[in-house]
Amino acid sequence: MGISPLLTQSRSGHTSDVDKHFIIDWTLPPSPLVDLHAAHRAIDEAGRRLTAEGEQVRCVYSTYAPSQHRWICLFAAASEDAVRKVHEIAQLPVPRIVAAIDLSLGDRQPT
Amino acid sequence: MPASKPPGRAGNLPAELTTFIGRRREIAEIKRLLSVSRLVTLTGVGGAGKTRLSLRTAADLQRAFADGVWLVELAALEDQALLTQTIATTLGIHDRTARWPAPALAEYLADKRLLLVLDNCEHLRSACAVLADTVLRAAEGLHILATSRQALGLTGEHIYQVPTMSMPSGDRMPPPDALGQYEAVNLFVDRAVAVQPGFAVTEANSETIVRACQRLDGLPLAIELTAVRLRALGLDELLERLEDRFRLLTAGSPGALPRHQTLRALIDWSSELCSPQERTLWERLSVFSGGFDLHAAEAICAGGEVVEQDILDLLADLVDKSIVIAEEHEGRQRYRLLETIRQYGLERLRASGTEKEFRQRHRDYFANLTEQALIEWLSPTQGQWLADLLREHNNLRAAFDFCFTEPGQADIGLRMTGAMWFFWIATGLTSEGRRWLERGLELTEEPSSARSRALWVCGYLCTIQEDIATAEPMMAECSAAAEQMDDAIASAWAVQLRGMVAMSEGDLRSARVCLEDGLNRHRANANPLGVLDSSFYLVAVTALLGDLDKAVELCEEAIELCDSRQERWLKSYMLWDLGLVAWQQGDLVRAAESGRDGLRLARESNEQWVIAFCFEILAWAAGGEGKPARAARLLGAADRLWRRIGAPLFGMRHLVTCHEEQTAAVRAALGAKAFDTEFERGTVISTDDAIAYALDERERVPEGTGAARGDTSLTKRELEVAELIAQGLSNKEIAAKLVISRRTAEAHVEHILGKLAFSSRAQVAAWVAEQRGVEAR
Repeated sequence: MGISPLLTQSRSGHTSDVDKHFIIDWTLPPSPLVDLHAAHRAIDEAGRRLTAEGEQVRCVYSTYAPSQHRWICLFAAASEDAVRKVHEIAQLPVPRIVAAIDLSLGDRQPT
Repeated sequence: MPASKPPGRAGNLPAELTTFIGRRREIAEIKRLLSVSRLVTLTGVGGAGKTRLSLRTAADLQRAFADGVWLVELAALEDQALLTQTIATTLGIHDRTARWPAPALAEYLADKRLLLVLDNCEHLRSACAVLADTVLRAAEGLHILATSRQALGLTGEHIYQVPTMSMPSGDRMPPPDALGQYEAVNLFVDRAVAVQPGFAVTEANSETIVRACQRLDGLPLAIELTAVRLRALGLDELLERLEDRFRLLTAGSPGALPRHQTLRALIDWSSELCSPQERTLWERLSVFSGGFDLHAAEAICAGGEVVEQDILDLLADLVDKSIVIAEEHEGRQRYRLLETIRQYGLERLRASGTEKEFRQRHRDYFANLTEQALIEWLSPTQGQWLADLLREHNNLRAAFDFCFTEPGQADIGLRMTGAMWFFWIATGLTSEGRRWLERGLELTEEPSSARSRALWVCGYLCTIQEDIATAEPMMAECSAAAEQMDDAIASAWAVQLRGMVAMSEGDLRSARVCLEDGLNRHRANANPLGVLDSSFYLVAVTALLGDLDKAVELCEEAIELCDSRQERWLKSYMLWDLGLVAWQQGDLVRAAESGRDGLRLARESNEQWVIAFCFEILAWAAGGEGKPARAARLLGAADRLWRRIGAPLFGMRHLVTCHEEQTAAVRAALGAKAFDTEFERGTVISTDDAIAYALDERERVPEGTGAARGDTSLTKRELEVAELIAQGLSNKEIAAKLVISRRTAEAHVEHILGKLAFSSRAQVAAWVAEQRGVEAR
């Protein structure tokens, strides 16, 4: 049993030069879903604002496994620092950020 | 800033230090905007008076917000990640959980009717916007009034551009007796009178005053900085110098200077009118964040042309020139720079190439402060240390940030943040403590005593936040490093932490073994703080395992140690422990007595964890003494606190089981409906009033319980309205029911709240129910 991933922006609509991906994968303290939804919305808004200021970053994919209290997000960003800033603006603790390859990009070749 | 609020009202608005001039139209408009939008942002250039205007408007609106008007000053906050914590601390929220702070804050605000003033948001614009969005969605009764040089950019935000003060325009000069209608002139005269008693507008000087105000673009800060120069200059000379300065800047074209540069030009001029020593001191003072006292200024800023013995006089001169603001705070003098002026000083300091030197001195001063606080924590000065550290919170944050951004300084930062472990716990700033410690740990790898301490302190904070998964690797690393370096102190703490983890997981036997080991190690290390801290947990575990005599023995030893040091914070914990043991022994009188003693001490330091624990034990004792109504109300008061501060009863299964059993027994004794009513009463009263109730402080007229029947001064009509409030009617419905205007209904509600010293309709409802109960007897 799983929970539908919270897709944020359409990948096909993403037109920036961002081709780096980062994953955050953290085990949370038991959190009500409402907290997760609020956090997700905050991350989206923070990413939108940072991008508008010239620092490309967006949350591509976000999913939560309640049995493990595990939250996994995939970011497309110009840098790891941008992912860190998104979390700070969203008032979330900065988790471990790991460079990743999004295998579902199809013909686009990630670096 | 010293706070000023009507008695019985929540909030922290500071008292005004100078006369507030004019702005009636602006205040009316901002109030109107707040009535149609829950987010209003005042924008404008620096020096336009956004802060004063927001505070004045907020002060006028205090009665409209039952849960108070709260000012959060953000100018000194450099780290946007600490925004939520800063707001939570201002609101008095102690959260020891690992829950994300923003949703926790939103939940706290959800049932509040409250105005939050976020002052100086520009450098935290995105973080403020995102947080505002989160909390406004969750809390319908929340309004936010923000000040910023730029709007936050949120849907639904109403922006108000603060105009400059009114003044005569053009060359047409009104007669002197007509100048009183102009705010800029009134401000100038008011500030001039402060330095030249007897100063007044006359035929001879009116034109000069008007031209000065025009030259200053009606900017309040510029006017204030200029008017004080009348201490040393004549009015004509003042205007002449102003005109010279602006002529230079605009290449001779009067009025060509953009408004946002007017203040800059004025500050440049103020700087030039300072002596070299004053200028240098101004630059060096800019490293302080959130204010400073004389001792800190002398320790950090002396050197070269600024002689330590002269700093008091130099400061007084800068105060006279309105560069530095002096305020008395709890009997002590503190100083601060307005942010615009501080930023100017910082620029000059940077340009001089000495910024790093003085930031380092700032850091060293506060590093000494943290170490001294740790040494003196177990002493009669404990309360003062807690107050001092809270007062210097922004400076401490600035020092930590310097350590963790400047290469090679992280170890000192770890030393400082680790030294403050009791502060993070006593103030409920566990998440912030973790953040700093984790940041420092990421930057250092080499084993060191500072790193070992940081590991167990961070592990401790993680443990009380029930984040055992993060705590465990830290404890393991701490143990290994302590063994490698033969660090007996760190070893003792690591062992104690293992016991705390076992305790929270319900494995009391393992917990007892580890905690006893930890206690013995702390004793061998002659570490009284460790002895007391481990004793708190060990007594609880020993009692829950049924070894009550041993628990009493340990507890009494610990209390004796506290008394020998005149220590009160940890004593409050031990008194709760004693109450728990007595309750288990069936000695309900002693349990209640210890609970009350612990509560009195916890109130002194606002130690909310212990307050909640004491409410619980007093409730259990009351239940056992056949006072179920009192027990239910205290359980409600405890519940209110637990929901804010974290896991009830430290998440300890055994204690939680006791709580559930006691709650069920009280509910059975009272009946479900009566239990719910009393429990609800406990949840709606403030913590202060719940403490007064728990301590039977009947001479106090508590906000939560209202005036006793017969003492109320409510009119017959007000009693009718109170009854309708208790029935859940809105103001509109009350107006319709009583066939009065809505405004009249609102006025009646305000009068009722004021007379009974309540802050919410729920309290009125509870009071009405109580009066019905009194009448029925």
